[in-house]
Amino acid sequence: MNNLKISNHPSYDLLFNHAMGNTSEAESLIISCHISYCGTCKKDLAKFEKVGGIYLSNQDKVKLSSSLWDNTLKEIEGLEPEPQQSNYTSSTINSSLLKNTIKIPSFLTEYLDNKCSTDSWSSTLNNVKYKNIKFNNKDFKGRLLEIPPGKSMPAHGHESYEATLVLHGGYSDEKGYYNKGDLVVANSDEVHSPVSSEKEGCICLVVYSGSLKFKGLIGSILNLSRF
Amino acid sequence: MCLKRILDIIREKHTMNLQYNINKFKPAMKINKLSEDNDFTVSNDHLSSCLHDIADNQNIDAFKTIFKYFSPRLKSYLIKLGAVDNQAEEVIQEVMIAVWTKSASYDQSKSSVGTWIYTIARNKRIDKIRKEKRHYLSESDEGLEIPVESTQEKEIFSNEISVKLKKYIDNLPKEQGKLLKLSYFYDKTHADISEELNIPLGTVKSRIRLALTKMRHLVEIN
Repeated sequence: MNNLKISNHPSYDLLFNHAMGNTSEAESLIISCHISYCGTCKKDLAKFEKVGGIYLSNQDKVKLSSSLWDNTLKEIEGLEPEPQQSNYTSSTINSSLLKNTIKIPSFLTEYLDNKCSTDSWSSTLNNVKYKNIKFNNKDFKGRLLEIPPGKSMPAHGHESYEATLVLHGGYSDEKGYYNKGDLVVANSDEVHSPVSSEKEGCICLVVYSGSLKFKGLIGSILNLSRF
Repeated sequence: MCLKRILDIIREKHTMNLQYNINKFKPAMKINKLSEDNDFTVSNDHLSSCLHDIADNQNIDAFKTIFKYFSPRLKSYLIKLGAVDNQAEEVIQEVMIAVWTKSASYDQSKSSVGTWIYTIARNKRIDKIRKEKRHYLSESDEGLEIPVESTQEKEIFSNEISVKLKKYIDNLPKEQGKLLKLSYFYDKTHADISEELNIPLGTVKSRIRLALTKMRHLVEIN
């Protein structure tokens, strides 16, 4: 776990926007999941948050309602300060790809609807399991995928963009190989043909806006089967 | 159309797309600055000891110090991001309740009090005003990550850095500084800025990137 070689990170802009609270729910989910694997981005995020802290501390002071202090005191009355948070929470899913359970970022569990085993996910014609994720902002969609080893996915492009985070195993495409923790953002004009890891298969989180556009015959069938 | 209705529409769309021109930015309400601003010298050590005092002794006086220092500044921050008066104060109250209940989780070796409260306010604002979920790694969610050595994050807040930062933003080429503020402090997307200022999207992005690269350098050397 400590030897992850992560070579694909969110862009500098995206991470700073995230620190400033300007990313969408879908983006913030996949970025935070990436950061739960990536010490480098965690450090960068801390730096950007520091900029936010400096910005806040340098704000002019604006007059408060006279009742705000009293009201706040009433709110905290009877509230005990909580003990220090424990430093470790663990979330896992079961997958047919692996005997042991697979650790996943805990943010993901609230989107799983208790479907913590990939057996209960939907299945495509070509044995790819998936679980759709819905966001309040309908412009964004998400999907968890479990892809068996060595499987080629149909070439596809995107109307807007697609970001993929590898949670287990890996995949490759025309541009390279992606391991656990890698966050890959594809541009709208790119068409790529991913192949899952021969050894381990791949479990990944994908968030995207617009529709996926599959190319070719298999793609069309998959579109119909709501891959 | 009255201002309230406009703001409601803005909230429905989950955007803060207030109509304005960059040269005459107007927040949703007038910002009444307090005239006396004599507590800028409150040190991070002092604020930090207040948080410890809240955690250990439930000390109301310590809580009041934090409240008095940050609430008026939070209000300015929230109004600039489009909140109206009562919304801003609702968020402030939530932030302060979190300060009261979660002060034991503040780690002086990892961040300044200002940064800690900033992250709480950022999250509460999104919960309350934009009514969407956002995800940030918290100290309780480190199950997968490679731990970051706290010594690397041990950066004591100093007024020197704030002054440098402010000076830095003020000294950026005018356009860069404006774009940076619009993008990061007024919650504008690059596309919004491009459209409103009639600057090509690519130019907006490259100027912001340039400003950020310089800012990153500044933060790193401090």
